[in-house]
Amino acid sequence: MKKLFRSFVRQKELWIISLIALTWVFIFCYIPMAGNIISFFEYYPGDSIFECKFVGLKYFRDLFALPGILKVLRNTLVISSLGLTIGFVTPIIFALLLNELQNRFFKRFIQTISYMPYFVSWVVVASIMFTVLGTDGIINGALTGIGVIDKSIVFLNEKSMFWGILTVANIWKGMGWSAIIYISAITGVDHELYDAGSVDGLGRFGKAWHITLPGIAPTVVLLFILGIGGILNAGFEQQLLLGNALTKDVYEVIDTFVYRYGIQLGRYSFSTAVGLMKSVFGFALVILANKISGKVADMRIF
Amino acid sequence: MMTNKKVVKKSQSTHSFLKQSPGSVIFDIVNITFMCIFAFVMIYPFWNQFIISLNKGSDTVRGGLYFLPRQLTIENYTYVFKRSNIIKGAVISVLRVVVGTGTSLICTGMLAYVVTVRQFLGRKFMRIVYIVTMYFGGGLIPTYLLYMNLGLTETFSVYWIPGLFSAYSMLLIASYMQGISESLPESARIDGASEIKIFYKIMVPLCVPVFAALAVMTAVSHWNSWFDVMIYNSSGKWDTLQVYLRKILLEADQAARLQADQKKYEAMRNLTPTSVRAATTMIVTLPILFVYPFFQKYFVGGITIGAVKG
Amino acid sequence: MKKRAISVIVVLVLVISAFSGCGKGNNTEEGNASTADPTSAASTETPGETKEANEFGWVVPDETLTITVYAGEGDQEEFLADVDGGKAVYDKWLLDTMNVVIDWQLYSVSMEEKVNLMLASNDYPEVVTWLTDDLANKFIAQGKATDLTQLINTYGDNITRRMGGYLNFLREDDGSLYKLAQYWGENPNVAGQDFGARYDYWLELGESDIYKTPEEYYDTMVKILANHPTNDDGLQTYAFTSQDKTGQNFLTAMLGAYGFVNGFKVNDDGTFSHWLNTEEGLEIAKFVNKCYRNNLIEPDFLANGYEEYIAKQSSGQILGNFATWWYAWVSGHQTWAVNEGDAYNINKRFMNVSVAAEGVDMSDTSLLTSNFIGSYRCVITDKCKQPEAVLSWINWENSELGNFITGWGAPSESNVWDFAEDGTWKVDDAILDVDTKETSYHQVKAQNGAGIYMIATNCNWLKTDEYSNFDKLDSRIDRVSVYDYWPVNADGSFSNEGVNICWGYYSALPKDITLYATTFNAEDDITITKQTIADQIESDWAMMITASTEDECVALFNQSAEYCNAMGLQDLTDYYQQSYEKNKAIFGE
Repeated sequence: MKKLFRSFVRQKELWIISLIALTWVFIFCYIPMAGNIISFFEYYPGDSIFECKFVGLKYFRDLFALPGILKVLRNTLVISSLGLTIGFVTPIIFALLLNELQNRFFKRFIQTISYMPYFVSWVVVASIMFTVLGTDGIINGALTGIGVIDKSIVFLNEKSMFWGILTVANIWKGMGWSAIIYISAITGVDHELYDAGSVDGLGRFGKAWHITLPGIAPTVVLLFILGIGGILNAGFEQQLLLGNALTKDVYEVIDTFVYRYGIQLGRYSFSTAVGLMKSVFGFALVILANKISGKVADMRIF
Repeated sequence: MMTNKKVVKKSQSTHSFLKQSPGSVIFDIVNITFMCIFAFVMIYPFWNQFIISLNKGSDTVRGGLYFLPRQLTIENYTYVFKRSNIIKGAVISVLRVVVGTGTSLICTGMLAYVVTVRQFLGRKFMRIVYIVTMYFGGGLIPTYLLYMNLGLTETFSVYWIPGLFSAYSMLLIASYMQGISESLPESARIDGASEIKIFYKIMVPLCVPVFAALAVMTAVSHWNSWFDVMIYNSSGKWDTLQVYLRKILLEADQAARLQADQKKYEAMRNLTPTSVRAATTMIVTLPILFVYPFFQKYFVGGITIGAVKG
Repeated sequence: MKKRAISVIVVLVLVISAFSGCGKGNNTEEGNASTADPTSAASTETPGETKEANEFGWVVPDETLTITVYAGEGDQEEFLADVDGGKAVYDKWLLDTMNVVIDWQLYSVSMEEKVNLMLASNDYPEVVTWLTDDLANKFIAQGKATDLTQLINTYGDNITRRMGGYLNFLREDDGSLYKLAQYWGENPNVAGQDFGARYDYWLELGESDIYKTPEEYYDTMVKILANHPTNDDGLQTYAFTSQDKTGQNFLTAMLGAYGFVNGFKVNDDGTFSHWLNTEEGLEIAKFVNKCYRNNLIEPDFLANGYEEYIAKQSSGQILGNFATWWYAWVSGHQTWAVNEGDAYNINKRFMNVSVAAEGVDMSDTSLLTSNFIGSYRCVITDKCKQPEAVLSWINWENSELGNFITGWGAPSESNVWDFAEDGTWKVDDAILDVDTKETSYHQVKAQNGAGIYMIATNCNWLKTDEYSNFDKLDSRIDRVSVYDYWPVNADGSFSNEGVNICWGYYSALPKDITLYATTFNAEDDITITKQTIADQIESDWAMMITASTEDECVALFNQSAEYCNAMGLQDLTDYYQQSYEKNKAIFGE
């Protein structure tokens, strides 16, 4: 207590900033967060919470009683994991490759181009993919041309390919955007280290591996830990656009599932309950990942 | 311990063309080739929208437009400019981006500084309080009621006040700040500098790259957001540019939800033509694309933290 | 620690205040400040006694009657911008002639979302229309809808007369009335589920009769494809495709050809059977599978959205339309006539054709269905200060003349119709000219604000029958609805040659399916059952029709039936059946 009091006096500026930030976060984040309480009530917007029936964990049980929920969980985890591995690594590799470009104009050009797909809506990206992957598309044309296949494949009807296609689409749309933060982190690596590296006889690859990568490691770890918390968010719009009735077994994820069983059916409490469950799970994973990262690499985000 | 006035100095790329090994040259060629192919793949969706926006709407219906327009016209653009109050939307969008990004970076930057001061007792607590908000949301209705009771609905304030602090930006800035030696702020502190002064005189200049990156990301997210505009400023008085595009993109969803066949037919028949949609996409997207090149100079050039190592 | 305790208390207090039902301080915001004071209500409360109705059948109130209406999803700014100028014309007419102002509110967000926010914040206008039945029930359940049970008898004579027994479907179980139907009446479409084909290509075959069964349709399409194996761009052609990533359009059309409703067949003993449990269902799966295996269905059909569907039809890659009629209409002549200009040949279009399955009479099909009470509802909320006046207005809207004006705009020399000297409603001669109709007619209507304010409107054919009396309509036109009219020749064919080609082969008549309407409440188990079965069938159907052999298709069909029955398909069937029986009882009352 004494320590706290002394800190108040000595670090009053820091405390004042903290207090402002705390007030803001309580008003704008924690007050609305209390709305999650309706996960435990049979509530519809406009009802009074006092008159709503308390149902306990009914909605959580409901979710797990739905047929196909295990498949949905599997898809969610697989698609997220692909995003957290391949999808996570590609922007880093891209940032490193970009860093090796010598021509500044070309470098800036590529960098700007790379984030352009981020601004194009999923509908457009999906329709381009239909054209490319269609039976008359260039991929089928090329494959039949070189004789790999003799009949066009309908790629988007193939369950075995869906996760791959989706991951590629996600990378296509988001890689340049995600790379921004790594590119800025690379800039922050002390250039004297590179000079020292040259003296030690490190080649380009050696410098990238021994200097650049460790230099951006804190950012990488931070984003990875935060990403793990979103493991149950595996996308929504792209699934609905690229998926179809034949690939439903592999594209359906929690968000698309809950959209139909919650929002479309007007089950407000159910949707909230699932959201809450996702939050709790994601946050628990973040705490765990943070602990592990602290033990293994001595890097913590809190 | 020394403090150097000129802590930041620009440095040219340390790689020199003169002393390249053959392996390095091959790598360069492969890398440049890869980047060229990559550039094509990345620019294509945009290019596709661009040519569709320049094609006659009634012809676009037939599909099959890949690289060049079939019937060149600018009528889609004139239509959009005549039809909507694009200029007003653009002004509000720019205002939102400038105010929203500026205030958010200042506030979040200070917060990030606070949570990196090693001696500060509340630092872990603050981090946790903010990280929780990244995973636990409030849901639409409680948020709406809150904004309504605070009088934020139907005001410009709803665009920037709820975005003053961001946990994500806080963590990224903090992580960057932690990469900087403690010695610099510490010596300033001993010299009697106030924390605010240390923040903006010492830390901000050192953290320019991360601020620049976050400025791009925050600006883009402000520019792109539309849901909050439609929900909290539903009267249309504060419509941003992005909302014009969203309204057009949402038409198809709305039409698909219709249950009466006749109504659906009318809605589908009256959908904004693909070409006009593409033209709107261009108009809405092009201005923000230049935010990146603008901030790029802060992280392409490179920064050397010379004195910090002292 | 203390901080934590305090924060918990703060949060709890705020939750309670946020969720205690009514948002605070909203009563000041009633939507419109210009609503007349209660004294003016008195003048409209007594129609006929103190004041006479005007020539349009409306008792003009002394004080302007302002009605604020939330009318669903749309672009408010675009609406207010009034590009065609029709809103200004109609608003002026309403104010000058009827002394009524309608404050029409549209929001771009989904109606479900907006209604939730309105209910939660207790901030909604006097009238909310275009609600789904489910959303209307939320207003009623929360006591936020005005009780119309008595009012309808006093102020709603046109509504009760023109709805007849169908009004009972809108009543609560205890007979009270809180909601009105919007967009109701017999389906005014000429075509429904379509087994369409390119007319010009069909002509080439020289067949004397149009195909009448799915099998004949199949044979015809095979012949057309043989004549036109590729389109102008050299791409392989196909007969059909799909637009919703499920291929459900084939199922819906086929079920129509067999006369199923909502996926169910009514057996001779009055019981229901789901199509998965019938012989017909298996035949349907086998038929569509045959189309797929023999390359009549485009291999990419599951990837298409609406736009891809339209593009493929209009680029000549898809030569038929095995779906709802208007896809062929939009992608066909509407696109070609514009693009090809003078070179356009009127025969280049899709014809909409109705077929009946083998052994089914055309009159027993359900290709063109009609739900008399429609899918949409309107409620007068508890914010409404003069529910009598508002209901009177809605009642006027449902008078014959009010109905016509709402859909067609006020009569004037510049509109497409006007009062003739003999009092009949005469349409403009120039408009009867079929060549200019497609363009000028819609334009003129839009310039007169036709159809912009439909609060709870009848969208039936405007005709004379047991419910309605449209004997003043111009005798030269036929098939009038609030949207459109189609001049018909003495022999019963359409005056417009193109329309005649499109619809000349559509012989199915609307089947009234109002009695099959079934309500699903969000929190009931049966609702979940319905959704899980629908999901299952969606995937199973796609697999059945894309099976590589017929045996595989049959096996998948049986497997799906077995699986769905285990998931409670029988319960669902019973639920539909009970609902039907209940509806019959309600209607019979």
